[in-house]
Amino acid sequence: MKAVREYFVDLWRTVYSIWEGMSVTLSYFERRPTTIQYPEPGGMPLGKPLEETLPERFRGILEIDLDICSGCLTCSRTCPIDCIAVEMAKDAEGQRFLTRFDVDISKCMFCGLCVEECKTGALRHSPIFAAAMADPYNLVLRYITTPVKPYKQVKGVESKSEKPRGSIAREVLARWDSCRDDVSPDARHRPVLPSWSFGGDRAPAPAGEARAPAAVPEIGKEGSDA
Amino acid sequence: MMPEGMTSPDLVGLIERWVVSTLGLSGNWAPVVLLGAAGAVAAIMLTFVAVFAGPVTWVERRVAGRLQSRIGPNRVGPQGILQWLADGIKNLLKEDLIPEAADSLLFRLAPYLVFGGMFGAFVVLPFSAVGIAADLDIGIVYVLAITSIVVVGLIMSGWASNNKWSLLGGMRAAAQIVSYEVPTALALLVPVIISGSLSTQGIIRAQGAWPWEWNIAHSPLAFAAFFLYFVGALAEGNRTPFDIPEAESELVSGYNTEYSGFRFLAFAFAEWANLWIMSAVATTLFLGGWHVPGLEEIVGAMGAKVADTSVLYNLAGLVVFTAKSSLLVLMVIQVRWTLPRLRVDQLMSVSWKYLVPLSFVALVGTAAWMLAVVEVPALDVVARGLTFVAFAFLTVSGFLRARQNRILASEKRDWKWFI
Repeated sequence: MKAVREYFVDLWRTVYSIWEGMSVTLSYFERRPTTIQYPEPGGMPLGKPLEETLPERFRGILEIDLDICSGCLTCSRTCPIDCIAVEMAKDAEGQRFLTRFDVDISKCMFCGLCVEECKTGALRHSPIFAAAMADPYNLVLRYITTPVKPYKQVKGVESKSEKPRGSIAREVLARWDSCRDDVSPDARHRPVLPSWSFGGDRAPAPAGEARAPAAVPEIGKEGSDA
Repeated sequence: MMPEGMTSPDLVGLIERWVVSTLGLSGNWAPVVLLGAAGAVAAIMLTFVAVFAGPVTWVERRVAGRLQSRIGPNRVGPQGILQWLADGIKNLLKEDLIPEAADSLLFRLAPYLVFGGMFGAFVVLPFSAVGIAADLDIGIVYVLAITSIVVVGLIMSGWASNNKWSLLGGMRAAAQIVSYEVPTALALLVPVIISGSLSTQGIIRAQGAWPWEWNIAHSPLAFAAFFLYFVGALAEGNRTPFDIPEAESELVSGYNTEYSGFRFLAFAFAEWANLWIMSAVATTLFLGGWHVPGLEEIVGAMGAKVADTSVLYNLAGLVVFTAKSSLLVLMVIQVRWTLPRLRVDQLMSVSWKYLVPLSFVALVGTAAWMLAVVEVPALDVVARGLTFVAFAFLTVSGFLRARQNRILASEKRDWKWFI
């Protein structure tokens, strides 16, 4: 009798568990796949670029908000592999200017030490991680095209970047687009070198529509005249 | 040529008569016309098989992707719908390799048997009132007989490959198909005795267009017979959860391990075409075939009668039949990606301990039930109503349960298939 009972219990269990299992898989017909088709435009099925879905503390390419950079050079000194190069210069009136802020993202290991040390919060990680170039030299991102006055930090006032995360790095990368696939020898260093000059000790700017700065700075006239 | 009035019209007969009457040929031409007509119908059926088996591989992969929360092929053509063409071309370009130690003749012969056994079943598979290659009056027996040739092909390929995995796969296939032939055939006898015909068209004509007029709703036993047939057909088609002959984790790929190129394609082709065969047979025997619900009532109200050879009627029947079969195919695919594979001993116990006794009960019970219905005709109405309600309840509750499962996973409904 027990065997007969077990026989029918087995039957019922088989039918019922298949019904339950089928209903589980059936529910997947109306559920969206978790797969993200990364290189697709819009990063489907997210409906927005993948970068915008990354967590707040994601360490992408370094970006500097020059509006609040005091030019203290702490970041470049902290960097264990020297991938940040910052230069300052004075014009005729003795006004100090930030003339160079280069980040070599081919060297950067995204350790975040520089970001931790930055007092004003100007240097930060963007959510951008894709910046492939045909030539690694092109991975030196030059954030300054026009000399900028350093930010004066006021005690007790919290400095905060107004620009959305990633916008600065994206803007800089866009300027690199024209030489992204350029591997010819004379293309080398081109984006690295400033296209303006204080004193003529640097190479002249190459004629490039995207790389040329919008306006040549007014400062350092005596240098450019010489 | 079959005598007029004996059976319903079929495609070969129609083409034959059309050619003879158009060209005004004498009786001496009959064998030539018959061969030509049969060839033409075979070409139509082969095209159908190709056009079905190809895209259904894509459907299967997309469904598999969905059920595993991924996307599946969506690169070749819009949404990857041309993936099957790419796969086919790739397979055609592959080297046709025959292992040195293989039995060359049998190795070459096996795919023909597998494909031939599968394709032979299309002779009696109906699509509409006249859309059938030849309406044999032993149609169901013919299907069972001709698909058995597939076993010979499988065991032949397993043996000829001279590979232990292939041989094990072939032996498993033979053991499995021979075991499951018994409950499948017994379950098929249930609609046969209900309809009183072995011809596929005859069984369809004995049913009605509405779900409660189908054979599946005849009685709870017929309802059970449908599932018994379905399980048996899954096993005969070597589909998961009964795919032990080609269990990837144990046997590499089973009997077709050594095959490459087009010969391999022939096996895959037969496997997916078999999906259609099992679904079409289930539709024919249990789900009312090509009857269009409501059509006869409408035409009857207009005071006319539906002509079998009417083009519109046949097209509507084709659509209805294809829709029913496609739903079943989709269900088979869903089962494949839902249930895990059975062990060999479990497989045998499912067949001999459960399916065989139950199908005997279903067969004898249905016969007894039919006797009871002869005595008390009201029983038929009650049973059909109850079975239909049970069927509807099972379906609706399944969908509701699926909805609940999605809500439990706290996900929003997203029907968007095209991504």
